[in-house]
Order: sequence, then C-alpha cells, then structure tokens
Amino acid sequence: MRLSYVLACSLALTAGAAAAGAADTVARPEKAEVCLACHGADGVSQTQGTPSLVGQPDRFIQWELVFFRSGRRHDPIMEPIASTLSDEDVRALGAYIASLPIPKVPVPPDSAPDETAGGAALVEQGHCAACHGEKFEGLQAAPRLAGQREEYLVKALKDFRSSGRPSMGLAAMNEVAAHMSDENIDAVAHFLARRR
Amino acid sequence: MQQPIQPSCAASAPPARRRLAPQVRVAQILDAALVEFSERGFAATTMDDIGRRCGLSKGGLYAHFASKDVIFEALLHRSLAPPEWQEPPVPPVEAGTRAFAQWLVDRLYAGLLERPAAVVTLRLLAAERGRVKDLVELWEHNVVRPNMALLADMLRTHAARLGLPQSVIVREPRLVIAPVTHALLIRMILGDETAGQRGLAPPAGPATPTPLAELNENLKHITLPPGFTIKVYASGLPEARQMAWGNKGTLFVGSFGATNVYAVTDGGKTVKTIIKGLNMPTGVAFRDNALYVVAIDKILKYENPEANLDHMPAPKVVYDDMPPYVAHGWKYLVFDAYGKVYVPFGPPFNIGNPPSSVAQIRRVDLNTGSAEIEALGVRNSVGGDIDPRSNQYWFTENARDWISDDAPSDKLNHITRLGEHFGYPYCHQGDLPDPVFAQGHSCAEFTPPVLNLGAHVAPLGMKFYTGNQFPPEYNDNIFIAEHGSWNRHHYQGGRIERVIVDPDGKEAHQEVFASGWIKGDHDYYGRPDDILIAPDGSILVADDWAGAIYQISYSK
Repeated sequence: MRLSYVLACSLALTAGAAAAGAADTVARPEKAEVCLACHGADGVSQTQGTPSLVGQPDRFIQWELVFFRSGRRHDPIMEPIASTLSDEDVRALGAYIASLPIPKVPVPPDSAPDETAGGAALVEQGHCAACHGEKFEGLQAAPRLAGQREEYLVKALKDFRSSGRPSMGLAAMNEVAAHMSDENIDAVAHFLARRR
Repeated sequence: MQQPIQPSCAASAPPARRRLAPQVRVAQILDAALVEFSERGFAATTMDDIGRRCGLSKGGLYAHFASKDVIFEALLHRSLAPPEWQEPPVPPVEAGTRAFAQWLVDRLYAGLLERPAAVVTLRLLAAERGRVKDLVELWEHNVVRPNMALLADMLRTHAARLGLPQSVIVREPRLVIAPVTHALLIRMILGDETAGQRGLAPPAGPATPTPLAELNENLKHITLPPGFTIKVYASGLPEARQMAWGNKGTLFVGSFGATNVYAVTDGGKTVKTIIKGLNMPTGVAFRDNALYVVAIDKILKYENPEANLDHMPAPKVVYDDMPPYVAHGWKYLVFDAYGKVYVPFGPPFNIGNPPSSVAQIRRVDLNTGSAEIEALGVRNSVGGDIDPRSNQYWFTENARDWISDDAPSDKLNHITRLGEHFGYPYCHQGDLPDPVFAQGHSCAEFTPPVLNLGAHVAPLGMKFYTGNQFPPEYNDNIFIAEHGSWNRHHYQGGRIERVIVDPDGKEAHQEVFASGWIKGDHDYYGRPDDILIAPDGSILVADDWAGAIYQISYSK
C-alpha cells in the first residue's frame, strides 16, 4: 500500500518535472524531485491529505524536515525520506522550496460563507497573524496558511491539538489548538484555505 | 453585531472580480479605517492610509466617503448600534446562582473583551470624544442605556426566581458589570496583543546547527571585560541546553526540541548523540556515577554512562509524578548537597490560574519519589543553582508576556523558607499586580525578587562562580545566561549577566559580562541558555540557537 503510493507519486513526477523547472530561481537539488512527486510538480498539491509546499518559508521547510528526521514528527512516508537527509540537504531543500513561484490559484466558490466568517473571527481571536503574517503568507518557521488544502489544515490542527505534532514558537500551536472544538477547526481551515 | 478587525480589507476581497457591492466595499473601508485609526490615531491617519489598506485608489475611496470625519462617524455609528436582541437571552436559572453568575460573566466577557474591535472602538471614542460629542450622546442613548435596562430587567426577573428579590445587584445592576469595565479599561490603556504588538512572535532559530566557520565569524561580535576571551568549545549539537560534567570528564548536554542528549569528549573535539527520541530533554544532571535526564513528565536515570557512551544502558524512570504539559514543561535539574534534586514546573500558558501541579519548584528525593514543594507562584523557571555559601537554592524566572516592552521584569529569586510564594499569577516583579489575575491580592503578600533583571531578557541557566581562574572578585558571583526576547519590539538579553549579591540576597546588582548575540532588532547570532564552570575555572556557555558550546577564559 505504502509502496504503491510512493510509486504513484514518482510517476506523477515524471509528468510535471519539466514544467516546474523553468521558473526556478534557486537550482533544484536532486533530492527535491522526491518532494515534488507527491507535493505537486509546482509545489501545489493535488493529493488529498498532502500539503502544498509552494510559498512555504525556508526555515519552516527545514524545521519540518528536521522534525521528521529526528522522529519528532510522525509520518510513514516522510520519516524514511527525511532520515536520508544531511544538514546540507535540509538547507538546500529549504532554500529551493522557498524559491518556488506562487501560482495564482482561484478561490473555490464558498459553499459556506457563515463558516468563513466564523473562521475569520477565530483566526483574529487566536492571533494567528502574529506568527503567520498579516496575509497568512508564512514568516520564519511559521508556515504559509493562505491557500493550503482545507482538509490538510484540519489534519494539522487536530495533530497539534493532540500534541501528535511538535510546534515551533514555544509550543504555540499546541497551546492554541488545545482548546479548539472540531467545528472551530473546520471553520478556521475553511477560512484559511480561501485566503490568497 | 461588531465584526472582528480584518487585517486588511484587500485580503478578504475575492481575487477575480474587483467590482464589489457598495455595502461590502463600505464595510471593508470601515474595517480598514478602524485598523488605521487604532494604529496611528485619528489625527495622524490620512485618507491615503485608509485607501492603501483597502487597495482602493483615492478616487475609489472618495466615491464612498467625502472625508475622514465622515468615515469616522460611520465607523462609530456601525459600532454603536443598539442591541439586536429581539428577546433577551435566557440564562440557566435552574442551575443556581453560581451558574447564573458564570453565564453572565461569560457573555459580558465574550461580548466586550474578546472582541478586539469593541476595545479599539471604545478607545477611539474616549480619545476623540471632543470631536464627536453628538456620537458620544448617541452611544449613551443607543448602547449604554438599552443594555443597562436589559441587564436590570434580566437581573430583576432571575433574582426573583432565585428567591433573592432584595439583592444589591437588583438595585445597582452596574455593580455586575464593574469587573468587566475594569478589565476593559485596563485593556484600553495597556493595549493587547492585537494592535501594537502584532507580529511579535517567538523567533525560530536555524533548523540545523551553525557551521563552525560561521560560529567563529559570529563570535567576533561578542564583547567581554578586559582579559577575557571566548572561543567555540564544541559545535554541531542541535538545540543544546543544560550541561553537566560526568566523573571522567564527559560533558553531557540536553536539547530543547531535538530529542537528543549529547556527550562531548576530547576537550570539545568529539560530539556524540548518545540518547535519541526523548520529549524535550532540556535538563541534565550527574551524580554518583549516573546521568539524570528530565523529559517533560519523567526523570530518567542512566547508570554508569561514561563507560557506555556508544550503547547507553536502558534508563530507569525515577520520578514521574509530573504533568504532561509541553508549554513551559521544559525543565532544569539541580542536585543539592543532600542528593535531592530541584525541579521547576511551569504553567502551560502565559498567564492564568495554574493547575495545582505546576507554577512551583519541587525538591525531589529520587530514592523514594517523595517531593517537597519548595516554592509556589513561580512562572517559567529554567535555571537555578545552590549557593555554595549557604546551600540555599536560587533560581531565575521568566515573567509573563503581552503587558508591554518594558514590563514586567524577569527575576532572580532566592528560597529561604519552604513553601514561599513568589507571586504568579497575582503579582509580577515584586510590585506589579497583574491587570487581570491579581484577583484581590496585593504584592506585599509575596516574596519579592532578589533582583529584577529586566523585561523580556529571558534568564535561563545560572551558576555561582566556584572556579579559580577568574579574578578573585568573581568568587561566588552568579553568571546568568540570558536567552533574549521575543515579546518585545527591540530584543534585549541574549547575553551573559554577572550578578554580585550577598548570601542573604542583599546588595544585589548586575552588570553585563558577555554581550553581542543580538543581531539588529529581531534576530540572533546565538542565544545563550546555560552556564557551567569547567574544571580549569573557565566557563562554558550553551547556545540552542546555534547548536554550540562556547568557552570563556581569563588570563592576565
């Protein structure tokens, strides 16, 4: 099951790799090919449950790779991949991913504007922009949230809530998510997925 | 209903279609104006500022509003609408007086204090009241009176049902909202993290340790008193934290998030990761040929580690009566002369009434698992040491965030009596009652600090100087590793302080010993987090930002 998933991602890579190469401003490390196979050839994930990497800050990418490498963050696909990376690989991948141009992706039609408004209020209350940027564009080791896949944002918040995932910023995300209900998590994800 | 402040109305606009319904555009302009007025003040805000925040041209803005004054009035009108309740909300009267009171406080709190726009609007109204006298009257007429009438009505009805028709709150309903207005006033004056402090967030260091060549370059920024020099002792220790010497000269080092414990040998030349996979093993200590590691909610013991650096023995859990909170759950270990270990327990938040298992320092007997609560009312302490002159425990403490850049001060404390209370969450820096959590306590009830070290300097590891290399005036001085700020517009700390103080805590003063790790306003070359005296009398400094250990030596 796991193997076939990796294979499928690798096949997807061969199709998209050429297209992504053109606009890169930082030379693509060889090991980046494995990333883009699953996370989208242009860093925009087309896969349920797999986050988009495009627009993610250098330091965020580096930290998550280090978390997977040390086993602090768990994922059956990411842990074995990260375990092969050296510090130099980690730095090169961070710089490369952060250099990917952010494509203009239209906002999907909003099926639940009330949920969007509720999410906006929660995001304000939780001071999300303090770390993630005024437009949720990502700063330092805080990821870009704008335009991230909605179902992935839900997963991430639930992982933080259960302390199943480490948080930067003095455990800020574990602290914030600890008191969120499922409904609140859905609303926040719904709102953020529609930011650009 | 008030809307929360939008960071910028451009951010909430759909990307494809720019022509918006006028009412949507007006709402966006007012959101933008509220942010601009609250950040700059009414007088200093220009139409251009508001337009820029909305992504509107001057022409576009003037199509909706003729002037700044008109925007301001529209903004206040929107915020000062009468209550929309068709019928007053129904409290849980059957559950009794306490549940009713709780319900009421929750509603008032959520209605006022948890709405940044409400606080900002009231602050504007107070600041600009001379300009908008008729709007102040409107506010009194539309908001204050109907809400008070509604409250009085509700209190009368429900007090009667609870059998308390003569209650003082029926005669004076404003007493009920007094605590909320007090909290609101404090927030209006002190501000909160939504406006001026936006963007203050804990900085994230490099994900991988700083390479040696870069470390050597960075150390050129460090200044020391005459005769002292600093060099890299060891590098490549991700997120290095507390340090401890083994019997045979091994330096053990904990880590913050890297899950590792390191062993440094050969005078710093060899670094090994000897333990992996622990949950924030920040604190390490060595005693009777055993290494002790604290990892959030357990203390682990590794027997005879120096003979087994390549294959560490399985640990024994020697203490685990500890809560699992991660936030402020990272710890520091200090053995005293009697073989008991001091362990700090931080609250899992910035400020609040702490769970009973935290905001304290325990002295634990690892042989029996029994613990004494040495100190209460302690926020986040990640450093301490035994005074060689008195055998008493001294510790550093990080004060709460989000009050201001310059308050409250972080502290150096000294325990002289078992069970002393150091003030958290009621009182900070010995003389600053918490704006919300003082809860009727006065600072005089609590043990004051030996020394206020400064706001947001983040004092962590500390050691009394017991070496014999530095000049004699350094004997029994305290070296404190200051990790440096995050919740401050211009970072401070990020240095090593020297504190000179009598054994009884009198005559305390501090001076900067080593500084230069802060880069610009908001960045670091490194962040010192622990101090250890080396056998030759030099001191070692752990740095979790750069993943390195430095050595500071003296020669005439």
